[in-house]
Amino acid sequence: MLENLSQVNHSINGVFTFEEKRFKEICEDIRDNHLAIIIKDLLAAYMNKNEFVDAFFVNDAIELEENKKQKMIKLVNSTDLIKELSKLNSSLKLSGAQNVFSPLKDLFNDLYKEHNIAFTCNIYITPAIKESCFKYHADSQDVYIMQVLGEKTWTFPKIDNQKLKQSLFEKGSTIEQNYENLFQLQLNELEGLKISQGFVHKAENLNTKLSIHLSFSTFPKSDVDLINIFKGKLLNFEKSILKSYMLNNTINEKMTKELIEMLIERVDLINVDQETQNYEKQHKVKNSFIAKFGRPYSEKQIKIFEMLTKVKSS
Amino acid sequence: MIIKSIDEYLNAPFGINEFAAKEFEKLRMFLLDHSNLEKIIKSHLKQLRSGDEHLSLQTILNGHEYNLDKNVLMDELIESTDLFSTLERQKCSLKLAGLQKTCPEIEELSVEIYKKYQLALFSNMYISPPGNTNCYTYHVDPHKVFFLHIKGQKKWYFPKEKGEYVFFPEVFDVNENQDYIDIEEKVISPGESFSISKGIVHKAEIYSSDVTVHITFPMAQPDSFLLLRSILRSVIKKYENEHHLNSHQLSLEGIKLNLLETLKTLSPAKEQKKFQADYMFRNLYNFKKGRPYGSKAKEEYEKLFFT
Repeated sequence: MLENLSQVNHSINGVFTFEEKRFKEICEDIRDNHLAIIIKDLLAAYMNKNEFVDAFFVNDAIELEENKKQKMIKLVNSTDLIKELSKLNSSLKLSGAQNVFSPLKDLFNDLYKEHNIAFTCNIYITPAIKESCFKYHADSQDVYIMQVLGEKTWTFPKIDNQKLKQSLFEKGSTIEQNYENLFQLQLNELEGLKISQGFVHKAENLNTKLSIHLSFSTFPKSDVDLINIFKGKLLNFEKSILKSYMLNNTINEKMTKELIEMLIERVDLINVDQETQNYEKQHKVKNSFIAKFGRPYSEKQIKIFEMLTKVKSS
Repeated sequence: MIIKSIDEYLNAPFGINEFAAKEFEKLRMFLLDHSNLEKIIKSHLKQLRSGDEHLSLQTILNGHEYNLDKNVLMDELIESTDLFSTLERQKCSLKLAGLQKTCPEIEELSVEIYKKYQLALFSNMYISPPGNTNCYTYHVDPHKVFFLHIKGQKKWYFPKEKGEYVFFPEVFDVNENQDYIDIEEKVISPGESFSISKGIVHKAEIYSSDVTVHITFPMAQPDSFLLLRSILRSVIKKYENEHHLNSHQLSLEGIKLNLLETLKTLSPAKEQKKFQADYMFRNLYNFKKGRPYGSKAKEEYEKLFFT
């Protein structure tokens, strides 16, 4: 159990129940007073092409494109939104809630000042029984979850009695879907959970009532980023070498051995101090961009974000 | 150089070559007969419209997807009594992918090539209406490819540096690498055919006042660059399995040592066999089914090859 963000900052990776007072308070306020308007505003902002919000209907990780716009318009115009959401035949994922609800943005600004961590907020709306958003997957963010309406069951595959399954490099549908050894936990209203980056999980609504949870995502430094620095360096051969490899169709043990030896040489040459400095700098840029605007969703903004946050190898 | 057989094509040196492989001659004559063109396009669209996830119709303008209702477009084209007038009115280029599954004559060549080399042949048709409706800006293709120009004219551009074609090992974004000074230009007319090595930067622009059509034939031939990529994937996978990942104890130095250790334990014989088996199965899948384009097909493909 983690009681506040300061503890989280210094904790090890894992899955924890979580009770940060300010998250709880704002979720309670959202549930009691603002839920419908936030959902409608997010849908409207998405349809008005706000580049820092996103919305899509999804079932078992498959996005449902059919009649997307009509379905959204119907929700925006409905007089009883919760009833309308309960009738959906899929989950609805909304991203960037802090950009339409200023108290959330204010809280995130405070947290950024206090902990130097940028937050974004997604809303996951899942109608009754069996309608799950995503299959087993792992995120590259650290995610703080709070149930605001109904309940949701979270499932984590275990690799043994102690450890939960981690997968930082493979995401989405590439992750195995069949596990026998599972850890399960049900979140009720205003109960929270922290899932560190890379922990495989899925969430389902096993109840007959509508389930809505909020996720507060942060973007910590990651082994994946660091491995990618090495990957970039390893592939950064001179063009003439790459050209000769592309033209070479001989695939034998000798060639494989030669390539492995070359990779070893390359890794050995990497200047760790310089690369660490570059990475720290880029991570700071990434955090401040997200704190200021939120996560980018349009092609244009994603491009800008990638350009700003690309780790440049020395 | 003139490529006279598929054998020569598979072993061709870096460059752009006239393509006159003997195995392709029968198909070339068939494709150049314009009376066959309408049938090829319509039967492709009909099969795609019936939900075949290994086919696609892409609408492209200057390297970006052009948004329109594809079902409406497909119905309009399938029902059109004057197909080329309908195509001429479009606002973007069209790419029909997976012709080796919808045109029996192309399929025949793909079977012949698979039987002899165990390589899957793909085939895509590019249709551009006249005007500023070009398909791609400068780019590189992920595969070695040969082309046949069928209708209208296109001007192809091949940038050069120090007298050699500009080479890029990776596919790059439409906004990158677009400025070149030394450019070789070629106007290509119906019946002309040539091959381009993997990695050569190029683009094609419309050079006539009617609809232009050309067909490409990419092939995923394994090479040692792909082997290098496969070894890298193995290293990362092994790293993930062997080392506990903890973002709060990050150190590049530690990762460097772990990576070195992991690299040193790789077995060249095993890596080679794994790579060859992977490509054998990919080619078998691609030959039997084609490339996955629909979400279900993509998922099935990822499950087969990435888990």
